[in-house]
Parts: sequence; structure tokens; C-alpha cells
Amino acid sequence: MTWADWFDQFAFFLVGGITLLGAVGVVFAPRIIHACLCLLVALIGVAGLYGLMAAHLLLGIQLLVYAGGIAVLILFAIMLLHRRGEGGILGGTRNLIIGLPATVIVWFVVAAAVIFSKWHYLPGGATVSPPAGSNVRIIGELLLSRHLLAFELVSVVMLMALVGAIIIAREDKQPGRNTPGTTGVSPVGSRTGETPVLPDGVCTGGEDESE
Amino acid sequence: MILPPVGLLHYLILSVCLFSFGLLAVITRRHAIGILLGIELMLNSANLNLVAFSHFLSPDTVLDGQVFALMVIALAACEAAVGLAIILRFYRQAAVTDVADAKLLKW
Amino acid sequence: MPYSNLSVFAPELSLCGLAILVLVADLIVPRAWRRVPAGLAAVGLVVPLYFVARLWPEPLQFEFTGAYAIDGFSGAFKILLLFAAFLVILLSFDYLRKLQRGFGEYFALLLFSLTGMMLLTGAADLIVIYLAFEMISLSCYVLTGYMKRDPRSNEAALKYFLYGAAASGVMLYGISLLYGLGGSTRIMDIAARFMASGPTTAAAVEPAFLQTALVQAGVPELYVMRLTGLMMSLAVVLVTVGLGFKIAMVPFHAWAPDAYEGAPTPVTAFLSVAPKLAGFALILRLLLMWYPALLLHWPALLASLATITMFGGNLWAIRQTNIKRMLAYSSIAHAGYLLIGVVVAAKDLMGLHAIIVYFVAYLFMNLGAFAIVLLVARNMGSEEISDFSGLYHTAPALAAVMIIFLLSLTGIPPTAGFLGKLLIFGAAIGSGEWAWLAVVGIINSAISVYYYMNVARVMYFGKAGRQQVTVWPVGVVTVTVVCLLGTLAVGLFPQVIIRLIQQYI
Repeated sequence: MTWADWFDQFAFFLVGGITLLGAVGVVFAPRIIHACLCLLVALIGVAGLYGLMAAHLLLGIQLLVYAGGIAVLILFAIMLLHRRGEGGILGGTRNLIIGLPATVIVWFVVAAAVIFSKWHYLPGGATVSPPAGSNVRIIGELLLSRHLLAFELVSVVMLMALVGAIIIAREDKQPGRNTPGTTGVSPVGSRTGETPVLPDGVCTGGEDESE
Repeated sequence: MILPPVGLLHYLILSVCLFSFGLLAVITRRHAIGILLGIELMLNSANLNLVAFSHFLSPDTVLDGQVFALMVIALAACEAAVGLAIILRFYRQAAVTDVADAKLLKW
Repeated sequence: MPYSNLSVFAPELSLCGLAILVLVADLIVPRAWRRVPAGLAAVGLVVPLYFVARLWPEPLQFEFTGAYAIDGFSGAFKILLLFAAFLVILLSFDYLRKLQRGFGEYFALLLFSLTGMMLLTGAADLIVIYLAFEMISLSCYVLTGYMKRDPRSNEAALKYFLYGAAASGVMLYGISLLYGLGGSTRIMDIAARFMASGPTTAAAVEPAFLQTALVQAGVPELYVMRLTGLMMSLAVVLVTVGLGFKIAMVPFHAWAPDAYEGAPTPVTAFLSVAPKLAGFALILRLLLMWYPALLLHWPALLASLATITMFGGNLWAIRQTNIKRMLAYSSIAHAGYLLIGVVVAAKDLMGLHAIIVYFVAYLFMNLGAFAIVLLVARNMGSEEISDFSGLYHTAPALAAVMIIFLLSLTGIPPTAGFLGKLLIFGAAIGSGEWAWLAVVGIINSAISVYYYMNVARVMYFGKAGRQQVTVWPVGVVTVTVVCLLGTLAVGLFPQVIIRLIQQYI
């Protein structure tokens, strides 16, 4: 083995090890905020793996969007929730007795399938060496030709998710006006109780029946 | 000591491990956000697969896998946004995020 | 080469444009006129419908360099989807009347969701499939949680989201494995590769040393070959998890009753019909394109899933006291019947035709039942089956119409549900191989009589409550009438619809 091979080995096992450590933390960290930080580590590790596979554009995007965006978004959400969730068992894990064996079985099945499958080069198969220059250009061209439909579609999905997230998350102004039917919501429970618990919708007919 | 050269199989096995940990987090976490974290791990393991296949199996000019991974990252952002909005809304109303406490509707 | 014929994409494009138009119009118009954009959403559905009809293709066509397919059956599914969305929009007007904000956005999200579903019926590329899938899921999560003040709506959205996101993660992993096996994201390319790939066409890459080691260690070559097939099965199983979630197949159905019960009732009606249509369209597309090459054992897997789906849905439905929850389990059972058609469709076009007829019937009878649930809930205040008590005495017409929908759901002639079941079971018996599925289906139909007729019993023999049915929202009544006419027309004149489908698909 040459020095380059040794470097490959070292880099893969180092970055892969960090990623896996992060993943372990996501499962077992006792507090949710720590689990989220572990996810951040795992995400950065995955970015490193992309780098080892010469996917430089993905490396950048993984760091910017995933580690910088999504993970931080989740952190913010945790901090917003944390006021009352502090302490307690809220962050902990349950069902390890069921979950662990099930996961181990899944791991063995998938790993066996991966190991014993024949993975084929595509026709005109290439070498494993990374391309000489950057491959960003190729991805850009693919996005606007072969994957044009997906590219357009993802923009629509983003618009939709934006609208949806705002609708769900924004605080309704509690109407001080005359909406008696909507304010008297029983907070929890009363599933079986016969009280009408559909505040905005079904209950209390009689206001504007003319429609 | 002869180690097999780092190749497709290494990345695939690593991805299986990530997927399993993601699944484990989804099954065992009590906190709704904890489940979301597990789901993010699963998405990343799939992305790792896609990039590895693209890198090791196809010619250097065919990067379908990387384009796919790009889309998945974009979608993961959307999913996290919508999901966190739903979780926050649920929390504000119910004052718990332990999914085991979500029993207004029978599980 | 990369330039596509955009006119082929006109239905989805116009629908997406309509959604954005509704979104913008809602911002502009004053609050008092907020029904205008919503009405626009309903009326505007004519445009995509026109394009679907005009583009009706003779043979299978691919657009966007193979990423998108249009053919007869996806056209039929698109028309059904548009029709279902139209009825759901009519159902929604009255329900949303108390909504403080987000009136127009509701309809925009509904239309976005519909766009995703129409895309899924034609998607022929793994990336597009995943994107369309997520588009449907995300919009449905939001719609489920739309009644933000209602704790049940919030909880339903949370459960739907957690289950759905996990299922789509599992499915994505399966899709990534399929990409690795097929070497392309186009499902046609993958099919071609599997048709062509014998052991000689491509060289084994990495695990060759492991396989030779195994053979040298004395493991028979046969087992090594079997293990190689394992990956394909695994990928298919993982994808089935995601699909099974979308159409509420039994091991992956746990979200459905909660989401259906907690969601706003028009959204429940939408969830019970539209995502199922889209999911089945995708299953059929994969089956029709991949069956002999890749999905050889899929029909057997789906047959066993159909069996437990039918039994699970029907047996759980018996003990429900909430009508929405009961209809949720009933819709799970109907997914089971439809799966019989899918299993048959692998080899026989009869199965495909039967599925479409069944969906026509299902659309009318299920949306009709939900319309009546809406009417009763609007007047009684909740959605328990006990609210239907004595409905015959207070609103005889309503009770009679509900009976027709229930008979149709059970599959009793002369209703649409009977025709659907007849064709599905007939196709199964005709296939020979899957005749036992028809027997299972008939047993299950017999079980379903119990809980459907229980509602009828409560309506006719229960003690009437104090409340009268006084409010008759126009939209809901319209939907009821349309669904009633549809249910009866399909049941009474079966040859018309069968001829239409045989001619155009």
C-alpha cells in the first residue's frame, strides 16, 4: 500500500468515525439539545465524506443548508420549547428493549444485502479517481436539462412549504371581538366527552346561517 | 496488514449504520424533535448512498446521484420547516412534546 | 435533446398557476370578499381538466427527456383527482367560515397538493417521484393541522407528520438503493437495465472478492446468487413502506385513524380519496413498467398486504364510535380491495380497469358519506355515531341518502360500490392465480356489513335527539346530490362507464 492509500484509509475512518459518533449521540444523548448538537457533528461528518467523494458542491451545500440552516433551525426550536421541557425525562429515550433488537436486525439485513450485492459499473464505467476539475458545472447543466422538471418542481415545493409553515406557526391574534364560539376551547381531554371541541369548524351553528 | 482499498462498500456500510441509528432514534426518542433528528439521520444516510453510487458506479460526467442528493437537502429543509412549525404549535397548545402524551386521539 | 414539449405539461402547469393565483388573489381582495379567490379555485379547475381531456394520448408518451409520462391511465387518475378536489373545495366553504386567517391559503395548499398528486400519476423518474411524494405529504400535514385552535387538529398533524416523515425517510433509502442497482433515475432506464443485465453484461465491482471468498469457503454458489437478489427485494420492500404509508396499508396505517379524526372534516374527505388515488397511480406505474424485470415477487407481497389490510381495516372499524374514525378504517379496508386489483393488474389489464371503476365508485360514495357527516356534525356539534341516532325521524331524506352511500360502501347492488367490487373480484377470479384473494375480499365485505349497517340501525331505530337538522349549507348539499347521482348512475348504468374506460385506457 502506498502512502496515498494509507491517507485514504485514514481520512475515511477518521471522518466516518466522527459521523458515527455524532449519530450515536443523536440516539443516546440524555438531553435533546445535546442530541441536536450531535446531529450537527454528524452532518458535518457527512459533509466531509462528500468531500472525500469529490462532491464539492454538495459539501458546500451540506454545510450551508444542512449544518448551517436545518440544524440551527432545530436548535432554535428546541430553545423555544425548552422553557417548560427543562429537566424531566422529556429528552430521554424509551422503548430501547424493542427498538434496539429491531434496529440490529434491520442493520444485519441491510448490511448483508449491501455486501452480497453485485454493484455494476455503468456502461462506459469510469475509474474511481475524482475528476480533474470541479464538477459543479456538470451539475448545473444537469439541473437545467435532464433534471429540469425536478428543478422546477422543487421551487414549487419550497413555496408551498413556506406558506404552510407560516400558516401553522404564526400566532393568531386572539380576537377580542365577538367570536364567542371560537374562544371557549377546552384545552386538553374531552375526546370522549360530548362537548363540541371543534372550535373553528363545526360547533355552535347559528351565527351566520344565511350562507 | 492489508486493508481493502476504500471503495463503495465502505460508504455503503457507513450509510447502513447511519440509517440504523436514525431508525433507532425514531423508535426510541420520546421528544418529537428527537424523532425529527432521527429522520434527518435517515435522509443523510440515503444521501450518502446516492453520492457514493454516483461517484463509484457511474462515469464522472453522470452525476444524477448528486443532483438527487441536492434535491433531498432542499426537501429536508422544507420538511424541517413544516415539521417544526407543527411541533411548536402542538407544544403551545398541549404544553408537552413527549409524543407518548399525545393521547387526545387514541394511538 | 433536452427541450421538452411544454404543452404536454399544461394540466399541471395551469393547476400550479391557479394555486399561485389563488394565493395572490387572497392577499389582494378585501376580507369581505374572501370567498372570491376560493370560488376561483373551484371554478379554475376547469382549465386543467380541459387540458387533460385535450391531451388525451393514444400511446404512452414521455416528456422532459423521460422524466414524465402521459398515458391513458394517468389521464383517468388526473380527471378523478380534479373531480375529487372540486368536491372537497365545495365541502370546505361552510366548514371554514369561522376561520380568522388563512382562508385563501387553505385552497392554495389544496391545489398545490393536487398538483403534486397529478405529478405523481405521471412521474417516471425517481427524483420526481420523491419530490411529488413530499409535495403531497407536506401540504397534507399543514391541511391536517389547519384548525390551529383545535387541540385534536394539532395532535393529528403532529402524528401524521412524524409517521409520514419517517416513512418517507425509509422510502428514500429504498429509492437510493434502487438508483444504485439501476444506475439511473429514470424508471424506464432502470427497467431496461434489469431486462438486459445478465451476469455477462456488466462486470462485478467491489464485493467480488467477498463472493469468491464465500464460494471458496464452501458456500454453494446458489446461496451467493440468492443473496445478490436480496438487495433488490430489500429496496422494493423499503419503497413499499413509503407507498403503503401513503395509501394507508395495514402495517403502515397507524397514522390514518388519528389524522382522519383530528383533521378538519373536508380535509379528511380529501385525505381519504386523493392521496390514495395518487399512491395507487404510482404503484400501477411501477408495476406496469417494472413488473417482469424487477418486481417479480411484488404481486405476492402486495397480495399478503392486501389480505391483512382488508382484515385489519374491517375488524378495527367495528369497534369505532366516532364516524370519522370508522370511515378511516373503512377507507383502509377499501385500499385492501383496491390492492387486489393491483395484484391482478400485473398480468391482466382487467385489473387496471377494475381499479379505475372502483375509484370512480369510491370517490362518489366516500365523499358523499363525508358530506353527510359534515351536515350532521354542523347541526349536532360532534361526529360521534350516536349523533346519527334517530336521524330518520328528524331528517328522513338525509338518512335515506346516507343509507345509499352505506350500501354502496358495503357493495350491495344497484350501487356503484357493487360494480367496483364485482369487477375487482371478477378480475381476481379470472386470473386464476389470485382467486383466493377474491374469496378473502368477499369475506371482508360480509364483515363490513356489520359496521356500515350499524350506522343505518342507529339512524332508523335510535332515539331521536332534541336537535333538528336546520342548517343546510349549499356547498355540502350540492356535493351530497352530486355524489348520490354518481353512486346511482354508475350502479344503474354500468355498461356506460365500462365502455368508456375500455375505449380510452
